Amino acid sequence: MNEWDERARLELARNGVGAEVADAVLAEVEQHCADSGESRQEAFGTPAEFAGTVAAERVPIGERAARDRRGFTARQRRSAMIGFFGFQLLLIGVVVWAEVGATVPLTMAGVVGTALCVAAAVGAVFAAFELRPAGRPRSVGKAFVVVGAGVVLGAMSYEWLPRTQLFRMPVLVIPALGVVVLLWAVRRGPERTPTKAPAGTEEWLSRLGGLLEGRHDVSRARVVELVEEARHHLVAGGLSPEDEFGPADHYAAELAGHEPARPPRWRRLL
Amino acid sequence: MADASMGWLRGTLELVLAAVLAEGDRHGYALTQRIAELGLGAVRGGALYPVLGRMEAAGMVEAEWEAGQGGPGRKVYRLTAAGRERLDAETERWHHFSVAMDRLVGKAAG
Repeated sequence: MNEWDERARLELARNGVGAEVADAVLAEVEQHCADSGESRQEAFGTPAEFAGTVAAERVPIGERAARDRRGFTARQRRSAMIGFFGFQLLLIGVVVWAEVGATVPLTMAGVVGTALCVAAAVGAVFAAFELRPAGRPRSVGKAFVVVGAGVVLGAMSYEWLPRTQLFRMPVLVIPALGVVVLLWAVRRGPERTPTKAPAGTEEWLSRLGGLLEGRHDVSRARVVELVEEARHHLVAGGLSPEDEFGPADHYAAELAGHEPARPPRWRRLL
Repeated sequence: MADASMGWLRGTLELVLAAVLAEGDRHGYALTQRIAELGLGAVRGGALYPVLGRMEAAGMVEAEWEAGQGGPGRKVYRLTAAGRERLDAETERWHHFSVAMDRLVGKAAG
């Protein structure tokens, strides 16, 4: 398999094209190039262009709309987050076993402080990787304020709550919990498709803007322009957004297909 | 066959929009009205703006915001020189295509 094919296969997967369809279209590419003598690039464009065309033709809009700019669905993102925490628990379990021994003393300060810090860590990952693609980019800042409050409260709990020993916990509980969480990440069933359609025009427009910016990484200035244009169209014709544009997530995916990606600065640094 | 003609309109929407904009500058909703007036069918906003966005990114059209009177502002599209060139080239191709198509369906009908 040449480099173009490999990159095309990757781009196809990123666009939600299943392995079976990918095999079929790449076989067509090979056949076409063998017959015509053209290179893949000449006949089909870049792998990204080719994958975009195939996805537009073969992947239903509902499936394309559920993927963020990097090609992840909500289920994939959540499974990755849960798996990450499971792995962290396994790692922490091993470190505590090596440092402290087979059992660990539990205190009120330790239990409450750790619970708050774990909740803050979960909240931080959720804020960073879930709120934006869910179409709520404006909530990310607020979520990080709550996370910061959790960290401060955790630190205060470690400092001020009683440190008298409640009981000793077997360290094995931590990696065992990690295994359970990892299994949960791997074996999660399909998720229910969320949310009812936004009720009114303004809710629909607001959802459109959130999805364009959060899920599809369209720049905020361009989002304002696209939303304003849709608003004018609806007002001019006295139209309903669902009738005229379809579901907000579908329309956002259609629009974003032609817009350059502008991910937030913090994600460009990752 | 309303469905088939909607498919034709979708496939030629870029050419249709360029041709309508060659008549004069228009905002999105006015474009859909003009297309309907010409008897080409109804274009929904969901199909219109992604194509206008693509044409704008390709430099075929440029747009300017006009302040709305008591309502939201509107974006008025204008065909650029590059867009006009493209329209001329596409029109030429369209003539060849329609002649070939007429020949084909005429043969099939005969």
